[in-house]
Amino acid sequence: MLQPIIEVNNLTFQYDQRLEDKVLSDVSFSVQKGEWLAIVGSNGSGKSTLAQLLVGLYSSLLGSIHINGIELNETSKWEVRKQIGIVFQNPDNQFIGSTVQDDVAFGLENINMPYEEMQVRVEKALELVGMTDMRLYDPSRLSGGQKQRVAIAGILALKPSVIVMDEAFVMLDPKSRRSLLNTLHQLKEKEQLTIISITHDMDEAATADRMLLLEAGKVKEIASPRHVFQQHTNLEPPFAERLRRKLSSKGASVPSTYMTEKELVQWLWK
Amino acid sequence: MNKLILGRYFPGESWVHQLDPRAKIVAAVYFIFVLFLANNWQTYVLLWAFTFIAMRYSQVPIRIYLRGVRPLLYLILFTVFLQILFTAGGKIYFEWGPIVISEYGLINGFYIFCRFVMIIFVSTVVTLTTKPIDLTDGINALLKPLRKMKVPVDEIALMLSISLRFIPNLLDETQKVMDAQRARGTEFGEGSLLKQMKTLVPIFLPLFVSSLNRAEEMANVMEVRGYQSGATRSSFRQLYWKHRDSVCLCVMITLTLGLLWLRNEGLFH
Repeated sequence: MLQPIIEVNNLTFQYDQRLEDKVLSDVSFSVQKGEWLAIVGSNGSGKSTLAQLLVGLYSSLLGSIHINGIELNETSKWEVRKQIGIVFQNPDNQFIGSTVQDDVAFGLENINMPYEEMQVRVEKALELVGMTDMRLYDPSRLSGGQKQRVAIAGILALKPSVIVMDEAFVMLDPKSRRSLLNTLHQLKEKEQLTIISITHDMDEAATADRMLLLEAGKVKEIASPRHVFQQHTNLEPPFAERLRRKLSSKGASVPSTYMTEKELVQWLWK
Repeated sequence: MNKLILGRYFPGESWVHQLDPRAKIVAAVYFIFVLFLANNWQTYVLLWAFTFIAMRYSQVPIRIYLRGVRPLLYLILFTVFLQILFTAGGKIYFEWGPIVISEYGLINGFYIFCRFVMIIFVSTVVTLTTKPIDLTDGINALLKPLRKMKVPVDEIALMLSISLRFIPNLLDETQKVMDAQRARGTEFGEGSLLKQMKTLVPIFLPLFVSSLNRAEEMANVMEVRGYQSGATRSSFRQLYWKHRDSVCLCVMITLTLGLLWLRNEGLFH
């Protein structure tokens, strides 16, 4: 087996040292290169804290994080951040540039990239998220979803090997959400991009390679979506699974195992 | 808020619009200094001619310039009247105690009026024809020499551009907070001054707190995207010095020479 791109070992974290309860306790997992990991869990289960720990915004109490073999700490965090990017939830506070293209270029300016190369990268990133026509717009003319796409473009322009999405698709309408997810899936295939997406959207989580279920700061389960949805029936399941359960409770003789949308359609056709 | 014309941008494609912001800022600041060279009516005519040409070339309707003068009108009139009433010299038309209306007073008053209006006009030409972000770029470029004196020029520029970018957001938020408080029964702009000031507290506090949250989140985003204060950064926005910018500065020099000549010689002295 290859060395995993992200390795988290016995991570423990709490905001206030005086308090007993920990936000994260003894979290361990690893992610392979080119994998899509969805982190799910109810509010307050420590998802966002985990995301911020991964990019070095907080430092852990105990345990370690290795990204591409480098251990994340105060001195290495700038090096590590060249490989890992994060998209946050609130699009307004992520928009630093004064126009769309300036914002996409912000990260590139920080690594002191020459102007000509920057132009190419910005162009390409805007194309990926479908914002080329709006490159000269200022943020006040954009909707929440459009700003979110710009934020994603800003990360893509940096060409990181890992992208963390902290509920980044919340503000998007279903159509652009689907198209962006498609783009990311393609990038993941083509460039071996590793994606960690924190989400409440189970349909989105169901398309991931693996799911990490977080409960009260502990890893409850890390497995394929199929397995997770089968084991943890208290989770809000994706649409196809909901339909299967409904049918099953109405007395139809559906298979008793989890089914993806495709499988369900095929089964219904038969 | 709508009355304030300074700092507004009037989109267009005119000759002045296409000037480099650096050239425009330098020219406007220079003009304000050169203004004090004027000392007789010929020089004022020349300056007025220049101002009008600049205004015409900007292709912005005159009424917008006039609107820019309006909020400052009282200040201008106040200064002008003080000049008229307390300057002595020349032929005296009216005298009552310390108050003297004299020939010099009237002339001085008129000159001061001209100066004020021209300063406003010329600075509005710049702000109306330049996008705020280009202005910041211009200021940034012009401040660059100060780097040697350890002035954090890039940080100042970044602060300026982030503030500019957040003005609409903060205005929106203020409006939202006001509406939310109004929905809960707060009445704005009523009662005594003290009462009115008190009703502002439920607007300011939420705004203040949300600004702090915003700042923190933004600092995180900037950090994660690799922003390190003091590090060398390249720049995506580039300024290009063109022919017309050199022309603009040449015009300023010609103007100065003209002023100096008229000032000493006087055409019809």
